[in-house]
This record gives sequence, structure tokens and C-alpha cells, in this order.
Amino acid sequence: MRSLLDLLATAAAGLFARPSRTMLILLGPIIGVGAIVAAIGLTESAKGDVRATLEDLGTDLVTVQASSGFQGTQGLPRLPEEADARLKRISLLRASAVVTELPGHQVLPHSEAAEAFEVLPISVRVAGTQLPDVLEVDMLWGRWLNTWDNQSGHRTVVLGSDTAEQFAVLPGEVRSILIDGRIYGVAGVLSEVVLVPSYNLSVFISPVAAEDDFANEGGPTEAILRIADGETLRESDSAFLNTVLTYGGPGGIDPPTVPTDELEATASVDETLRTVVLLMGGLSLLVGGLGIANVMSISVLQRSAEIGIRRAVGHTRARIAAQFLSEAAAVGFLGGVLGALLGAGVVAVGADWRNWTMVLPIEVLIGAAVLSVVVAIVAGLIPAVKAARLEPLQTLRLG
Amino acid sequence: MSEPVGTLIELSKVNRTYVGAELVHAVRDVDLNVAAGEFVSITGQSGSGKSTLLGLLGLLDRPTSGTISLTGIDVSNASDARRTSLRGQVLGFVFQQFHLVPHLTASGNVEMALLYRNLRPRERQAKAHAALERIGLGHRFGHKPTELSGGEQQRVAIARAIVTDPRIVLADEPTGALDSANAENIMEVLTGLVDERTAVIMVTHDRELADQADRRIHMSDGSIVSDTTSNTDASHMTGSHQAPSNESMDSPA
Repeated sequence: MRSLLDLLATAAAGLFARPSRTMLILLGPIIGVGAIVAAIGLTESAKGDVRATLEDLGTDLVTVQASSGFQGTQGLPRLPEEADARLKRISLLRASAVVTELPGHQVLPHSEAAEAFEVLPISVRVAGTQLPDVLEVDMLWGRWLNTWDNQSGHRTVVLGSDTAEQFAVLPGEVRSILIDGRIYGVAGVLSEVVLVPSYNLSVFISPVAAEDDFANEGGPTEAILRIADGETLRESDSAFLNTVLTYGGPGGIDPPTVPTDELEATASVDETLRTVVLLMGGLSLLVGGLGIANVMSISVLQRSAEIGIRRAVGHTRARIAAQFLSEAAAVGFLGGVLGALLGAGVVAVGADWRNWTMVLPIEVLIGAAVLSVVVAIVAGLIPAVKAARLEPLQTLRLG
Repeated sequence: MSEPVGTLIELSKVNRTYVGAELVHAVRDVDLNVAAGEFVSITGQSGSGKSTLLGLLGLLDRPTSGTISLTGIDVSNASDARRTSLRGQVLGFVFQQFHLVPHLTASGNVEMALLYRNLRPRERQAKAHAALERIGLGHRFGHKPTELSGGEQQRVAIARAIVTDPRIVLADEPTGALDSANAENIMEVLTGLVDERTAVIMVTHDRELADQADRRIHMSDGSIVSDTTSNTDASHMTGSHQAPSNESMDSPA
């Protein structure tokens, strides 16, 4: 134990004796480890940010689309009329809402705008009072369709956020829009629906208005579902949902989609960049190792008298080798620690800049520092063996 | 063969040849016994074999033939590890070029000889300081070699050699790089060691210095050509050494 301390003290003295040289050979490990830590830390932080966003949006949202017409003669495929009631009975779900898309209707801010909005496909959707609650999206302003709207059959409309922007609707403004020439009063604007982007360029009307004005009949075209806490949507649930919705009748659903899964998939494209930076970090660590081997080999020649006298006073070859290996290891360790700090700093600054939450597993810091020590020890092997092989008789120049 | 008590070094028919472009007999058939408390000087011209002999005595080299015993242990064919261990235990070295480690303080240089001996840093420091005090450098513990004069550097080197309480101190031209005043001081220190029953073997080309030793050995062409002992200091010699046949021969300058 004391011998080990003696060894470390000797190595430290050797390194501190030549501070500028030690600084130079520290650069390799510092840059290498710094790059590795930064590469992992930044990609992890970016991923963490996506995860945090997803967490915010809720990863339990599932959309279901009818795949073939139940009534099936015109328009989009429909789910059974009883779909809403059937979904409410499934314990797998904690909430659900059905929506009916009515295709082929012209939505305009005013009658003169027909030409300008010819090419902008704004969808008309029929929704119940619960949709914003299931989407977990607030109103940008105003209010959502309520029971009164539905019972009275008033021509009340809620706009998607993009529609409101296109129509230049000011917050709180008393406005009306035209759906197939019929005047609908704007009750409010829904905030952006990140997980179901098509809703942003939609207008929402109540079921009774849809029935009165557009002769809407039959079941909904789609459903928004929330999976119950602690449950996950398994492959088999697709068939289960299908069965529950159709009761063995005609029609069916496409495989349910989980929008958050798709978002996560797009976020992981950055893996390539991470690999490149990791490789660069590894390369500079390797070059740093070569630098250590090179500088220490020269150092052994310059310190041959010191090695000779150490051998003369009784230090064994093994001790000499260990002394130089310790010096190399100390360089690797110091470089690793400083590099890890540098990398962590880069991640902190980067995360702050992008407004991410900094994610840097402690294992990465330790792992990179250990890698640096290993590289340095391997690099120090040749100089250490060289030093141990020196013959004191030659280096001490007797007579 | 039982040697008298006090005999530290026994060389018997020691040869050292180097095989190079041609065969070099650096040391030929050397017989030499040195006892505790002897101050031996070895003189000879360049190539006379005195440095090779010092290397053999210092266990830095192995004889081609013959036997070398140190403190009764046959080291002729000892392994590198064994010789290293013995060097640390019974030998101390003083060199012409001092060979101090430049980045260590005076104390650090002396402590170097005490590393890996399972000593607490404080014990080691105390011993080093005691050794430095002993050679009159008590006020120079923390100085780097560059901050010391040549004479002081050599005294630090001597402190390093004696801090392990060696039985034998080997000095290679210890005053070669020093002026006469400093040289005198170093000789006093070495003589002081002899008084404490350490055997000192000094290689030098300086006749005057060599004459200060109790026993003067002159080498030529790898052989000991003369081995004289001062009558005045004969009291130092407790053990008998094999006097070579040509003891009376005057050594050439």
C-alpha cells in the first residue's frame, strides 16, 4: 500500500516537473474525452427533450380510422353509429371521442374569397363536446362547441389554429365564416393539436348542425382514444378494437396509430451525427495516445540518468516500469477528468442554447475517463518497457 | 573458505571481457578483499579497467568468470532482481556528475533511495533530513539541485548514498567536477564515513586524492598492479586482505 503511494507520488513529481509538456500531452485525452462526452450528452439531451415533449403531449393518445364503409355508399369509410358508446365500455381506454369528417364542402372566410381558398383544403369535422378534453388541448380563445349548440342546431363553428390564421381571425373577434355558403358564427379557436395535425386546418361543427345543413348520416369516420393508465396498446389490441367497434358487423378499422411513436422515430435520425462525433472523439483519443507514447519515449531517453540512479539505489526494473506507466495513467486520468468536465460544459451550454433539459448519464463521464486511462496506459507500455530495460551501467557513465 | 569477520567484499579470479569487434579484457584475474572501515582508492589510466571494476563491485555488471561475494553472499551469477535488492541494502553510490534528479528537492533526492521500503512519508523525510544534517546541509532541504553549488550537490548525492546505512560506499571520481576547496570537503565527508566503519571505495585519477586513502590500488590493463596500505592507518584494518605479490611496487603516475 505504501509502495503504491510512493509510486503515485513519484509519478506525480515527474509530471509536475515538466508542466508545459504535461499540458501538451494532456490535450489529446482532453479533446478525445470531451468530444465523446459532448456527442453522447448532446444527443441524449436532444432525445430527452423529445421525450419530455412527448411526456407533455401524452404518449397514450391513439387515433383510429375507419377502413371500409359501414354504410359505405358515399364519402369516407364510416365506423358503426354505436362506435362512441362501444368505445366508452372498453376498460383499456380512459377516454375517447369520435369525429366525423365531412368531405367536399367549401369553407370560406367570406363570399369573395372563393378563388383564393379554392386550393386550400379546409376540412369540416363533426365533433362532440368532449373532443378538446380527450385531445388535452386548450382553446386558443373563445369556447368549444357545447350542449346548447348541439341541441339548438345553431350554426356555431370552432376553427383549427391554422384555419384561424388563414382566415386572419383576431382573438375575441366577432366573426362568421361560410360553409357551403351558410353563415356560421365563430365561437372560438382551438390551440394547435400537435399529435393530430390535420385538425389544425379544420373547422368543427356540432352533430345537429351537420345533420341539418349537410344531411350527415351514419357513424363517425375516426376516433381519438386515450389508453388507460398502466396499460399499453399491444399488437393484439388492434383486432380487439376492431371486434368491439364492429360487433362482427361489416366495416372495420385501420391499425391504430400512436402519433407519439412516429414523433420519436423522426427524432432519432440524429444517430448518424452522433456516430460521426463519437468516431472523431475516439480518433483524437487514439492520436492523443500516440502523442503520449511519443513524448514519453523521448522523456525516457532524457531521463536515463534518473532511471540509472533509481536502479542504483535499489529500484527494480518493475518499479521503473510502474513509475512510467503511472505517469502515463495519470495523464490519462487527468485528461479524462478534464475532458469529461469540458464535454459536460459543452453539453450544458448546448442544452441551454436549445432550451433542452441537460441529460448526461454519469456512466458516460466515468466510462469516457476510464477509456482515456486505458488508452494512456497502453500508450505508456512501450516507454515504460524501454525505461525498465535501460542498463544503469550504461546510463550512469562511470569513470 | 571462512573469511575473517569484517570482510565485506571478496573478489576471486574475476574476469570481465566484452565481446565486440574484438575481445576486450577489461578486468583480468582480479583478487581483492575489502574489509569494513577501509578507505580504498583505485587509480589507473583510462581503459585500465577501474570503472569496469567499480561496475562489478556496484553489482551493476556481472563478471565473465570468477566469483564476487558481498557481505558473504555470492553475487557472481545473481539475478538482476537480486543484485538490485542488494544494491539497495548494502551499497551507496556517489558519481562524478552527481546524478541528482533535477525536479526533486535535496530532500526528495535523498528520499528517493528510501522509496518502496514501506516507510511512512514522515519517517522517510526524517531519515533524509538526518542524512543531510550529517553532511552539513541541514539548511538546504527544500532546495532544487539548480539552487545548490557543485559542492552542495555532491554532498546531497553523498547523503543519498548513506541514507540507507550502506556497508559499502562506491565513489566514482567524487570530486572530479569540483574545485579544490569543495573537493577537500567531500574527502572529509568520505573519511568521516570510514570512521563509522563503512568501507569506501573511490575511483579517481587524482594522485593526491588517492593518497588520502588508507589503501591505494593501482590498475593497469585490467589488472591490479599495486595495492599499498598506509602504515599510519593500519589500525583501520581489522580484517586481513590478500596482499598481492607486487604490493611493494611503486605505481606509475
